[in-house]
Amino acid sequence: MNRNVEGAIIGSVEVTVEAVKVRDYYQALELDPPGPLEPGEVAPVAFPVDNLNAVWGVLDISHDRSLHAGHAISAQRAPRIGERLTGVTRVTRIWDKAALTFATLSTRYTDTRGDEVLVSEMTIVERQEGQE
Amino acid sequence: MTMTLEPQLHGPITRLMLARYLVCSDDPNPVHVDEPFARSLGFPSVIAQGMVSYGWLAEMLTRAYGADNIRSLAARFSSPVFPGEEVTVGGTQTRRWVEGGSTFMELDVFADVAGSHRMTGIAVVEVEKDEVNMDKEVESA
Repeated sequence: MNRNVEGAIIGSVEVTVEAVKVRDYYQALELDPPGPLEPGEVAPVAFPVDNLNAVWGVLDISHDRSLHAGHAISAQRAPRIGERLTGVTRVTRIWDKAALTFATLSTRYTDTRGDEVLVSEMTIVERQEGQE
Repeated sequence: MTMTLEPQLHGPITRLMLARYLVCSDDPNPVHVDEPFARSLGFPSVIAQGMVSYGWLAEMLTRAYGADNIRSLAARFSSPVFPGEEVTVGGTQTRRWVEGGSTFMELDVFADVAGSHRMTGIAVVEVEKDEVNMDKEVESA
């Protein structure tokens, strides 16, 4: 794992909370949407607005050695259908435990006014070399 | 008195479900859909995205308290979930407090398969008693 990126901002993303994607999300989880998915309606707080996997390369790890080990969301409010969000991702921490290396990537999403909507935090675990 | 959210059963997990989640989350990890790849890592089959169970936990909280009232949900993916397994999500209130004129509730939450924890976590929701969807809660001693 590339430890030089600890503390660094490693990417940003612009996302729109699209109704069709929220429907896909509910369908994947085999859930009934709670109501109409009109612009302005509340979207699921755990809706995958981030694409953190796309920045795994910055950490110099591969999928044959690493897994998503945990997730945390802290929210000021839920996102809204049709809303445009900007997410900035930072590697907040890299640490070792036993024969594993952990990294936490935190993405802070703000709305078009610059107000924080939610922070999505992903923990990745990687097996160290020589460990099976 | 402890407030417990009514456990909710989901699944069984299917490969189609995992493929759909992979697409909508843009998650390229083949361990969720590529059987030989998953076996090469020592798993008996593909494994479900942890975010599937996490999503069910979030949905349980949303239906009980409203999406805008979820302040945080933190979970550790302790063991994988495999196709064919059913997942039960639930939660129990551990703390309730008033801060800045708002009432908050902390819950221990879990996602189990056959009584075995696969995910555990802590959620905080902002709640007023009148707003709680009581039919989603069960009182226990």
